[in-house]
Amino acid sequence: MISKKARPLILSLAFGLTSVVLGQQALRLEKERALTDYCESVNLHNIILFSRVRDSIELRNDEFFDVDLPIVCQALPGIANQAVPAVSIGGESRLTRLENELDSYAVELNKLDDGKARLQRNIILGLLLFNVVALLLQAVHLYEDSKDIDEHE
Amino acid sequence: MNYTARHRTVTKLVVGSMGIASIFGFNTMIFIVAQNEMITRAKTHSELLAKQGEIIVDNLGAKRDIDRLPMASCLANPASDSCDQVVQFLIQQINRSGTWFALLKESSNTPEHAIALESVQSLYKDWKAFLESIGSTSSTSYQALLSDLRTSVIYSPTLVETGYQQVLHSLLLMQEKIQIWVDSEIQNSPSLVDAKTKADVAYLILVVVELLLFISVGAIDVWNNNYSRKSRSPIAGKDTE
Repeated sequence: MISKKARPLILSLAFGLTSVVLGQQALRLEKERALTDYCESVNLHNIILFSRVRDSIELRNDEFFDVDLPIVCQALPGIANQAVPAVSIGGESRLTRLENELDSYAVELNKLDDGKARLQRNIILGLLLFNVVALLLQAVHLYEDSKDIDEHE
Repeated sequence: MNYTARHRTVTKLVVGSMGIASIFGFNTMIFIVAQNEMITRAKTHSELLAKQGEIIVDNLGAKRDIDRLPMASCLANPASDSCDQVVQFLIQQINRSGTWFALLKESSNTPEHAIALESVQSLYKDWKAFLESIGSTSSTSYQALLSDLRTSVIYSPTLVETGYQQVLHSLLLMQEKIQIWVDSEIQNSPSLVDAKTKADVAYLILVVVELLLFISVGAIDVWNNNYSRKSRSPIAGKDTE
C-alpha cells in the first residue's frame, strides 16, 4: 500500500526517470550528429573535388572517380549506397548521375542533420520541463512529509 | 520493521547504490573517451580524403597543362608568350610541391612516406639542375627566370628541352608517389567503424547503469518514505508499518 506522502515522490521519480531517458536520448543524438557531421564533410570534399575535376572525368573515361560515402555513412537512415555504373544508361551521362548522387547525399544528410538537431532541441526542452515537474513533486512530497512530522509531534 | 533495522537496511541499499554510481562514473569516462576517439578518427579520415582529393586535382591539372604547354613554340620562338606560359607553369608547380613537402615533413614515417619525400627531393634536384642549365640563380623570381630561359633557348635549346622534360617527369612521378602515400595513410588509418562500435557499446552500458542507479535509488527513497510517522508505535524504535 502506498502512503499519501509517498505518492508525489513516486510521481516525481517517474518524471525524474523520464528526464534520465530523455537525457540519454539527447546524448545518443549528439553521438549520431558527430557522425553526420563527418559524412557531410566527406560529401563536401567530394563535391569540391568533383567540381574541380569534372572536365578531366570525361577525358579519363569516367573510371577513376567515385563519390560513394564511407561505410559508416551508408548505415545512416536515408543514405544508401547509390553506386553509379561506369556505362551510360538511357543517354544520361555518368557525369550527370554523379552530380545527382552528390546532390542527393547532400540533401539527405542535411535533412538528417536538421531533423536530429530539431529533435535534440525538443528533447532538451522536454528535459527541462520534466526536471521542473519532478522538483515540484518533490516539494509536494516534502510538504506532506513535514505535515506528517507535525502531526506526529 | 523496527527503526534501527530500517536504518541499517537503508544504509546497505545506499552503499549498494553508491557502488552502482561509481560504476556509472567510470563508464561515463569510458564513453567520453570512446566518443572522442570516434570523432578524432572521423576528423583524421576526413582530412586524409581531402588530401587525396587535392593530389588528384594537382595530378589531373598538371597532366592537362603539360599537354597544352607550348614548349615547342617557346623553343622555336623564345620571344613569344609561350615561354612565359612555361615559366608560369613551372613556378606554380614548384610552389605547389613546396606545400606537399611541408606536409610530408610533418607526417609519420612509413615506407610510402619515405618514397614520397624522396620523390619531392628528386624533383627539387632536377629543378635545380634545370635552373643551372639555363644559368639562372633565382628559383622563384618570375622575370629573372623568364629572361634566363629565353637566353638559354637561343644558345642551347636541346639542353633546355632535356632539363624541362626531366622536371616534368619528376613532377608527375612525385604526384604519383604522394598519391600512393595518401592512399596508404587512408588504408592504415584506424578503423572508424571499430571506434563507432566501441562508442555504441559504451553508450549502451551507460544507459543500463544509469537506469539501474536511478531505479535503485528511487526504490530506496519510496520504500523509506512509504510509512507514516503518526502510525509509529509509542514504544521507542518501533513503527507499525
